[in-house]
Amino acid sequence: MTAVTTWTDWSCTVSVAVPDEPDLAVARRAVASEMAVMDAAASRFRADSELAAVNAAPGRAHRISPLLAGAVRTALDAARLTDGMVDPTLGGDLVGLGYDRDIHDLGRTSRRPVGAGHGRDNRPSTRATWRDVRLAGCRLTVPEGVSLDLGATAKALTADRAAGAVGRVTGGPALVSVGGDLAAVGGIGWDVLLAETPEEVTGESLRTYDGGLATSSTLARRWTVDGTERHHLVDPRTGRPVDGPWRTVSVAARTCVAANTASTAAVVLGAEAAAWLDTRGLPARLVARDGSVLRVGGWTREAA
Amino acid sequence: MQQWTPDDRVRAARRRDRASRAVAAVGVAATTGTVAATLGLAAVLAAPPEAAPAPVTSVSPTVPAAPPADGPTAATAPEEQGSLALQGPDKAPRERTTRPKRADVPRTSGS
Repeated sequence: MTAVTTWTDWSCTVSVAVPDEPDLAVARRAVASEMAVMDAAASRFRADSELAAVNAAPGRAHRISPLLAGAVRTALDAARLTDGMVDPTLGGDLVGLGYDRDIHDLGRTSRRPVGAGHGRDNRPSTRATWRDVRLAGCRLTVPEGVSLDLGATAKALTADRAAGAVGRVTGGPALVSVGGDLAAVGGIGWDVLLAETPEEVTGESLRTYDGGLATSSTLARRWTVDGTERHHLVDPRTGRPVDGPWRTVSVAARTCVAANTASTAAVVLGAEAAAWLDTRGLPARLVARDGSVLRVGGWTREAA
Repeated sequence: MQQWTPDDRVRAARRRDRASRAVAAVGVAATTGTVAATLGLAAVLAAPPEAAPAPVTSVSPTVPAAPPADGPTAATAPEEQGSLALQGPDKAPRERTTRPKRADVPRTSGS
């Protein structure tokens, strides 16, 4: 019998599951601890985070913690492996689009966009990119005009680290979900729900195993500016919210970071996504704008 | 029959010398490996049993290993790349036709 506990943090739902109820409390504390240290290092919304200090002073070399260095390195890896489709330097674009605070606070009000730089028309053609971010050991330099947003990969990295931490403190299998990014360790199967948004109460039933499972959706994290609804998945090529053929993509991979990287890239890639995922042997489920579903890379469905 | 010149003899002697040194190196390496393996086995045998899971109060986040503090700053060097690889899982997830018996199962979703 699986024991599960669920709570809210980072404005998202967090869950941890372990086989034995007595391990649940220690498991939850391990997850909360991982989230707390990552938040202090990599939050874009905390004025006292390490990342905020880096973003506040671009063009300078900052000595950062090994944790933030690992998170930045992961984000740059994700950019490299997706040819920039998953881009950690979109912080300025997101702020320009109005996403300048925690989504929980953002959803309460309709706001005007903040500053310039939102959308291709307002982007300087010489804007620095993720390739210009310099990371040498624990020394990080972000070029002028660039603001880091590690949101996607840092959340997935936290899920991976938290699942590993729970496995260590309980000595057994564990499944951790941080805002829909799942990481599992311990060699057993887990029943989970697959939904497009956190609010969706139905969804598909899924059996998943060790590794990561992530879902990216244009239906989630939406806000309204001047009557126009926007979402958080920004196309690095345009600086605007993705407007492609896939509204939701779920991917399974060896780690949650890999799954999240691939699901985000797939939404951005659009028409090329299915082949891109299949070529890499990544099991994926893509939901088109009309709700039709495409399964690739070995993602299977039981016969009814 | 092959006619040997003085130069040929010198070259042959050098070849024999190199071969001899190579054989000696292999012998040293094999001996070292045996010693290392013996020491490793001894270490394993001497190791205490695996420690019990730590109480939660001692849970400390596993911080990624600190890379060298002093490295090239002109660019992100190749060795700065992490270990991220876009690889599929050992076992792919499987959509089921029956829903979980309980409502509180973890979920994957856009967030």
